[in-house]
Amino acid sequence: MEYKDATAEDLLLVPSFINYINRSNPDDVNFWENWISANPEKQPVIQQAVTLHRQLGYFFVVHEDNGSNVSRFKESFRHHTMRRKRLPGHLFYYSGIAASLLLALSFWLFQSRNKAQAPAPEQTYVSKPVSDKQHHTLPDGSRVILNPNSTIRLAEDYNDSDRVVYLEGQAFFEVKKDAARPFIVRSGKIATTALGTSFMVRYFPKEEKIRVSLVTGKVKVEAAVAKGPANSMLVLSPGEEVRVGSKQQDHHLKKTIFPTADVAEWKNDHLLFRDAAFTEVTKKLEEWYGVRITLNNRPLRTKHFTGEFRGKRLSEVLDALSFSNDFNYTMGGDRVAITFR
Amino acid sequence: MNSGEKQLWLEYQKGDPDALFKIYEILFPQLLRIGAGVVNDRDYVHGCIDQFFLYLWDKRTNLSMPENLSSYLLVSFKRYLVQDLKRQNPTWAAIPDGQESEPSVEDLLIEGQSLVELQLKIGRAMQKLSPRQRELIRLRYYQGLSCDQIAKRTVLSHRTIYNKLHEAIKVLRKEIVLLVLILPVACFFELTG
Repeated sequence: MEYKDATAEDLLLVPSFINYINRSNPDDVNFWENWISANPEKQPVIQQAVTLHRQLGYFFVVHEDNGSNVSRFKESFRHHTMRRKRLPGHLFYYSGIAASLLLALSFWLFQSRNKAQAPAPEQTYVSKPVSDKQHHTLPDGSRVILNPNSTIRLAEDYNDSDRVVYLEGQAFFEVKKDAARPFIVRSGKIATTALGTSFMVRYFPKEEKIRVSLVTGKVKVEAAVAKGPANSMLVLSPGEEVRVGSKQQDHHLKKTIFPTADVAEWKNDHLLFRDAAFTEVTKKLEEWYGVRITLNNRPLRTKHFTGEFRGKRLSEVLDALSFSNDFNYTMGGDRVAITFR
Repeated sequence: MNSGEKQLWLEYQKGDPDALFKIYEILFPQLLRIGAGVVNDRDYVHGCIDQFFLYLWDKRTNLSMPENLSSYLLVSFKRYLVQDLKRQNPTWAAIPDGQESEPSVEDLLIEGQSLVELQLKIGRAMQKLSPRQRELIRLRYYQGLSCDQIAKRTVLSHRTIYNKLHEAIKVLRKEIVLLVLILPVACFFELTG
């Protein structure tokens, strides 16, 4: 007989058994009812599994949907016990808080009910190298700024029960708040879950590091690792950034601080150099325009550069730079070759 | 009464509001469900639950320790609700006392008898799990996602999800197994004011 040696944990991993518990599929209900009457000695195991399943569901109901009920009760409790001590001044204070909470809540409910039904989404967005940044609004109202040479693809069931986006390249996300549908960016082995927020992800398979930088709100970042240690998942606060090696075995997630102004400059197409060494300049250009730059005939000393560009094309920037450093350049696809004279 | 419940009850009787809040937190969803089965008005039932717990607080020094905390409170609440309905509504007042307040089978589903104890234990066992394991349990058994759907959301492989869930359930199961095997016999007391 199948499942003869099954423990409660085995049973809870059999989808048909879960259907039986939830009564969501008549065939499965039938099968398990017959199985149970044929194996009466397994009654305790079945009971354990059913109890555990119900209690687990209940546990999350208690801890996730229940918080506002408990805090509302704590308010009434304070009211109730305070009334006896005659301290009416506080009552107004608390009812004021309750009223504003309610106002915020109803506004939120109103907002989420009036979500417009967007037309069928375009599933993939691609940007060419050396192009302008693309601005897109996704079907749920979230916004994306796509760096050159990058691709995002929406999951087929985007905005159904979650919002999964696959990214290759670099993009900045401003996520529309929707607690019921987590916004998840999958980039290689990294998954970044937004909790109503704006953040940047950079993942070029050719590069060594995957990077997630958070500007506002909160995100959870997790790495796929065969044997998951505790540090393969962490939560970022604004101004924090995580870098992780893109190789599969490299799983160490490390938090660092980054200047949020950098992301703001990138977002606003405001390219800024302050006494920057030439290598810094080329590195930033590679990042901004999604290109690889090679240097030929490089002199021993290159000049530092100070200047700013607003919404300029790569060729315009290179033209300006070639004045001070005296070089020629050629562009093809995502390659730029700089040859010093 | 089991040890976790007993502890909680003693703290409540000593006048610790947090113990009352904890019991409220654990029982609220179940009380709401039971109440909604009696009268189809969730806001009213919600208000009644709050009133019931404030009443419990006021009476804390007069109560003796119940044999079974969960079923004691579930049954008492149902009685409290029905009495309140009768005060407010003449159609309810016509029903003779006692007939409507018997606990139904669903109210006291076998583990409902030790709901508080089981939830305390599960809460403790959950602490032993890694954040990822907890998250997987949540996605699978609360949100009802399949392993494939979880794989899409998390970056873990199907196999890893399966293994991690198995490990996690085992930890949780060990916590509750004794309790399920020696289920206490239901024993009901009147809540005397």
